[in-house]
Amino acid sequence: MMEAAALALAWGGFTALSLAMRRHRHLWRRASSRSVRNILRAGGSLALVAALGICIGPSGWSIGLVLWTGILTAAALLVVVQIAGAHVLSRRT
Amino acid sequence: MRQPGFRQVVSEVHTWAGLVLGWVLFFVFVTGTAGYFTHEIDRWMQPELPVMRQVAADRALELAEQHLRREAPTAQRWSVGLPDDRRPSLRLSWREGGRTTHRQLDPESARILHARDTGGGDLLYEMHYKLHYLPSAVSTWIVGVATMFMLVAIVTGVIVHRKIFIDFFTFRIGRGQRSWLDAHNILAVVALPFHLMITYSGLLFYSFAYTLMPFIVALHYGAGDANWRVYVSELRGRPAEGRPSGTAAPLAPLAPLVAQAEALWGERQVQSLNVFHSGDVRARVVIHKRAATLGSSEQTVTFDGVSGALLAGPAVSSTPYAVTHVLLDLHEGLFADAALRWLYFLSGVLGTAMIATGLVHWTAKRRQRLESARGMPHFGLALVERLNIGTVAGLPIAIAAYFWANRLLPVDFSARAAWEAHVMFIVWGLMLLHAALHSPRRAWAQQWWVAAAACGFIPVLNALTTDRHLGVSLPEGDWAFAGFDLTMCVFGIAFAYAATKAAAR
Repeated sequence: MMEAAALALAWGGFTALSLAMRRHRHLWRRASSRSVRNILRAGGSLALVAALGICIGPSGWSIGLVLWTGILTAAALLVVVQIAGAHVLSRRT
Repeated sequence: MRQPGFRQVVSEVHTWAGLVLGWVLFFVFVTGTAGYFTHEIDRWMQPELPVMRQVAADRALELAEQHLRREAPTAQRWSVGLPDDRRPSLRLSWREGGRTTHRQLDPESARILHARDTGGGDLLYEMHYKLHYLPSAVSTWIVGVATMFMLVAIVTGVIVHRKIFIDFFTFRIGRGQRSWLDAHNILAVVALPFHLMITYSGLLFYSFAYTLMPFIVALHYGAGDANWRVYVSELRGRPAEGRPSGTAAPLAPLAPLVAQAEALWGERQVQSLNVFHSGDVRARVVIHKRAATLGSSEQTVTFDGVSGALLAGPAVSSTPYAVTHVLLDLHEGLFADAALRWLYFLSGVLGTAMIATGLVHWTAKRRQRLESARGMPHFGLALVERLNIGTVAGLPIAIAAYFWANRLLPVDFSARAAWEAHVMFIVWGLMLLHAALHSPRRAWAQQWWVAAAACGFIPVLNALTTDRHLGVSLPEGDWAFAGFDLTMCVFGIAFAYAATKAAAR
């Protein structure tokens, strides 16, 4: 359960960070403002740190860090798939 | 001639370091990744074992002690593996007169368990550093050198990539060569910590145990096995087992010794114990800790087997030793619970796919240039392409064949464990041959379809040959069986998708 919460946070964090990136900005319907991007970056980073907190809470630093790294991998992969999926969908419409 | 730039040189190094032993690395990654579920695969490959319930550790120990005192009172060595979540049986073995006997017991009913002979998940795990058929001195060096190449490929890959952050999350589908490179990059980047850790720590195993260390040890301790054992016992901070004196003395009861170890480490933290020279005045009892935390997998306490006195405690002897063990434990992931184990497995799959996409990208990038320039097939390109098909698609087929052989070879066939592995390598050989005989496009599509069927139908095979199929294992929550069958389904679906893609190209 704790792992699922950390994964959800990491996924949200990476999604926010990806939306603030120049490369993936066109996923927005209209151009996002600088302040929105800053909020996304700050919020995204904060979510990743919060995921770390969830991981090291019950497992301690050593195993918590390993778990966090693995969860970041899984979350980043999800975001890759969702962005590629968004492209495929937008090409069809 | 213009001097090539730094990045171009590094790029060349990356290309060749990755290519030359890429197929060995692919094999190592596939079998090593399977190794994260070695006990679960073992379980699946011995379906006749009963569903066992956990018992208290002291009850299992009592049972083991009774059994060993009765069957082998004066063996050179007893080994007891206590039951845990992943391995519910009580595993005993003893060495007597140069022969080792293995036995599995149901810890609840004390019955001796009989199951088909199999290499199990353990054999796949061992293949990732021992390969197969080769003497270990040879295979160790092959895998060691391949691991070194892998480390070079990872470091140069990070330098060559250039746009790690700009391209983060980027995977452009349907763009030919560009897509292969994107896939290779993203698979490398999202699991980069794992790739670095697994390769660097893998290298440590080699330099430590096989390649460099023996020379260094020979310099200080002298050559030969006896001196190596002195070195190991000093390194581990526990006395060597020594030789029996020939004077008989009764073995102390084991329960109080295990209780002392549990007092040190906590409840259920004892994984296994070895008793040397039981019945002799020089008997030794070595108790091993469960690898529940990082860097603790090699912790032991040693007792005098007659007086029960503590001879050597759980000492971490030096900082380098401790650091080494953290890295080796990270590699093995024995401390991982179910969720983290799946993340390890996922990372291993990503590493395997990274190697595969790198190999395929090599051909995608060169095909046009090499073939249009000469108007005829290019030998190097054809060779790499065929090896890619026969390995990237062929090896998964071969491993699926290993599982099919486990179910289809007669249970009482005496050489069945050896033949499971033979079947695997025969099938792999056939796939390499098939790839050599057909056009690449057809060979890719056909082999992916075979892989999809070979994996996807394993749950059906399991249902036809055992009573531990998904209809039983899922409602009972028997995750060794359900997890194995469902994972094979997922691989089957993924390979079928690859087949449709390969056919459409």
